[in-house]
Amino acid sequence: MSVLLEVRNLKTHFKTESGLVKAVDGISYHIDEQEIVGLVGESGCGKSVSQLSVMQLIPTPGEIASGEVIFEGQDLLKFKSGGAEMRSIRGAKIAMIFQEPMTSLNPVLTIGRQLTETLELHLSMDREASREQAIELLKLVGIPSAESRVEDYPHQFSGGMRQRVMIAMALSCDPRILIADEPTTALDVTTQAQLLELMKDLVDRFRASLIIVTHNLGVVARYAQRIYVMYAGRIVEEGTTKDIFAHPLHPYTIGLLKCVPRLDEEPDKKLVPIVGLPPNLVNMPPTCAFLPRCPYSSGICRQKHWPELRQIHDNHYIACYADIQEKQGESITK
Amino acid sequence: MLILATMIVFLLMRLLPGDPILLYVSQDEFSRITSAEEIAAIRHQFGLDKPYHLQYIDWIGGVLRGDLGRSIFLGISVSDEIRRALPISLYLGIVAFIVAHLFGIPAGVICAVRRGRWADTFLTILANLGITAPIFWVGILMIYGFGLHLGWLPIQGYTSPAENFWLSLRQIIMPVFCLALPHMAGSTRQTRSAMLEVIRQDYIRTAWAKGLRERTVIMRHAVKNGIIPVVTLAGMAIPRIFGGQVLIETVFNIPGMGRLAVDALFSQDYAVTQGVILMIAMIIVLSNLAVDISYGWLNPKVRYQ
Amino acid sequence: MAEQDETRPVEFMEMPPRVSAFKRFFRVFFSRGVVIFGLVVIVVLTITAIFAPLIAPYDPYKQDLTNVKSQPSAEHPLGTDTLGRDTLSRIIYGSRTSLIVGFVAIGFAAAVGMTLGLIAGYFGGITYAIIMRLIDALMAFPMILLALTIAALLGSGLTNIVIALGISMIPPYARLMCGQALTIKENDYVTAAQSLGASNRHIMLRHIAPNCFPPLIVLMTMMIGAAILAEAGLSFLGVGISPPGAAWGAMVSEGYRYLLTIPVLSFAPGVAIMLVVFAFNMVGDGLRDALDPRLRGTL
Repeated sequence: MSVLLEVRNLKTHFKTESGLVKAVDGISYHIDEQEIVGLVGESGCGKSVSQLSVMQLIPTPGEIASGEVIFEGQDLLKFKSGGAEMRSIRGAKIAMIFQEPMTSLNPVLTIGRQLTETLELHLSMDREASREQAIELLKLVGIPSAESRVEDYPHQFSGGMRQRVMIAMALSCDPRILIADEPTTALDVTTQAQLLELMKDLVDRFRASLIIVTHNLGVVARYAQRIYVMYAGRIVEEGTTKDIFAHPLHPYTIGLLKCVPRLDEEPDKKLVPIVGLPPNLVNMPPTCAFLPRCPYSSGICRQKHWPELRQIHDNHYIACYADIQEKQGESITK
Repeated sequence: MLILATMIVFLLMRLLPGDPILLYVSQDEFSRITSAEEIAAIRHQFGLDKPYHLQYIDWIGGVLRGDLGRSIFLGISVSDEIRRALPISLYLGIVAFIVAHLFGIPAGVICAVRRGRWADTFLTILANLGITAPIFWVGILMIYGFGLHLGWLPIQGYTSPAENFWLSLRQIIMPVFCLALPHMAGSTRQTRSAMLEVIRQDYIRTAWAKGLRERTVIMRHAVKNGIIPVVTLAGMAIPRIFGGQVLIETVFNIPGMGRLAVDALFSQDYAVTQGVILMIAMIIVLSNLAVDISYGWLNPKVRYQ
Repeated sequence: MAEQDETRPVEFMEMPPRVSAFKRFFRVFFSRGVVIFGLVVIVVLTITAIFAPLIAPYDPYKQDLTNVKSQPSAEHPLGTDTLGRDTLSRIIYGSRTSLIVGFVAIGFAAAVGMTLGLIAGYFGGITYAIIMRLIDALMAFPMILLALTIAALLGSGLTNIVIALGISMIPPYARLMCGQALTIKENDYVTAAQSLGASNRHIMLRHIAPNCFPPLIVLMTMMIGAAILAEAGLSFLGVGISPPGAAWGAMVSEGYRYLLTIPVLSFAPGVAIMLVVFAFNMVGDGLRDALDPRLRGTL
């Protein structure tokens, strides 16, 4: 499968009162056709900002400092954020759904209207056709009584339902890529599962690609084929899901996996948290950002700049100077 | 609530110091000394010798029949006076209301959308000045500038548009501007801050993410939400415009309800004052009702309760 | 488990230090030029009002019939009026009227309005219904008409104007307090206090009222401007202070008749009014931003 979207060395900065925040500090990733990719990291690591950057939806005081986003042979970042080219991509070729279903829909417009406006805009449908299509879309995402519900307002739907509507809106114009930014974080566990299954199913059907941005490792374990782990604005590990779960090689990823309770462990085994706090992104030192919390750090880490990604084996890269396999000599999974 | 208002008005008038009958008599062209019986007779003629509650009932009864009583001083029917003055004030008030929001709301939207640029700064300064200026003084300034010096606009008076449309238009430009000014400024400020709030919301980000144009995002998504608090403000503008008319009609010598009320209050003419205030109260209540209804139409969450 | 090397030069990243609320208030409040300007104007105004006899070049009541209706000159920077009184001095003395009326009327409205609102919100039920109906009825009336009627009722004179204005400005305070009382009384600490046997009065005064200060203060500053404008309107119509007393609105009215000959008589007091109202509004904005920027858009 060929590469659909390639991001090269993206940097997004925010000028704040306290200083320059490098929310995204040079990340590169790609997504292929019909692939599901996970972008994992804790709050504040820059994963949401990176996706908003791809869509050029960064609010002031933020701005994209540098980088390229290659999609369909063109660099999206060269387009003006409000220009016609970018607008023809948003919602049509690349669609995004957000974390908060309760506030992501306009309270004074009907669900139907919010669906039809994209159809009218990108697919040039007329009123009736778009309305019919909207009803079909609602059925597709599992909203019962779609014909009557299409005239309802967002506040008449539950959180899970609203997120389904968001999915319907995103998929309405048959996008090549769907970006889901923490799509299930605000929902309860059962709804989470339903929604993720729905997304996978639809993405397969539409033959689209999916980027799931989340802090929840369980979500990516099940659905993603490849994973990128982000920390403090950079990617620290990337690889196939199997590989990363079986052989995590970056100290941060190891730490993350150690925090997750497992069914097959002894019941009295303690969860090991990662010591310390996430870094303050203002005025970061040039050394590795994870250094203060890293149990595997050594002299090199203190002297050199933040490590670049280096290949460990096939499709598995880490940004670290330590040789974990040597130090650990054990694997996480049995 | 209307009943309460009428009772308050009625009581207030009765409590005014001074006896209107005596005032009337002393202003009468008969400058002879009126005997006590004659005073009593006049009092009886106007029904002012009955106990208060009977007077009230009489008056309400009259109101329901469309008869607001007779003015002691002018000797003519209050209803006639009001019928003459009300359309004028309504006309000015409605035009002022429309002008204020027609300019104020879009100005506020522009300020919010072009926040920090010169359009925003400029309009915000104007708005801040607009709410601080005493409207009667602005009227006088305008009369001086446009009327006396430049001679572009007539400085006083009122003509019905039916009689002479062009003259009527030129005459109302300045009064309407003065009446509308504080509300134009207020709605600019209010719209601006409401829109700034709305623009930060998640659903606006969703709208952008769908690839909609700026114009669509602002007009279809943002404005409909941002305008909700402005409607409440607009509701408050209606009684205030009436209040403003008291001043503006005095400055521009317009024979409307405001002038009527002031004259009547100063001469303690019960009947006229009661009638005027009753009319104003009714209009305000009706317009508040209209505001409530439009609020429900704009905000679907309210509708379904 | 994790080796903590003491010689590490890189420390834990710390959260940025918390700025004290006090400092933050002052930083935000003084951040905008217009707010400082407003504050300066208010201070100057207060000084002028208090020390008027020392500042004004002439006695504002003193008539000089040899020098009526004169243009601005070196002796009389703003000219004289129809009875030869110095306009500048009258404007300086007029500041007293405006300030007194503004502050006292607001104070009265706030005191009465807050009490009513507190009672209505706290006790709810029929008390709430009656009080809020009255407030609504009051609110329906145009402020000027209401103030006019009450002023006519009580007669002319400074005190009565203040009361009249005060009454007409009660509704916003009553509604604010009522709304606050309604929300705050749902809080658990109120229930706790009640269960400990605290009297209603105690709860109202000690628990509910103090939480209302920020929006209340902002409301008061905002309404001073409105009060001063209203007072000007009233004196313009001839209610309240009229000549020989010095009030800005009355001066505008006087000057209106002589607009062609001595326009400054009308212009100058209006400028004074605008300046003062502008100052109070800007300070009000600044206070609101400094105390709680979330209030922006609601007040």
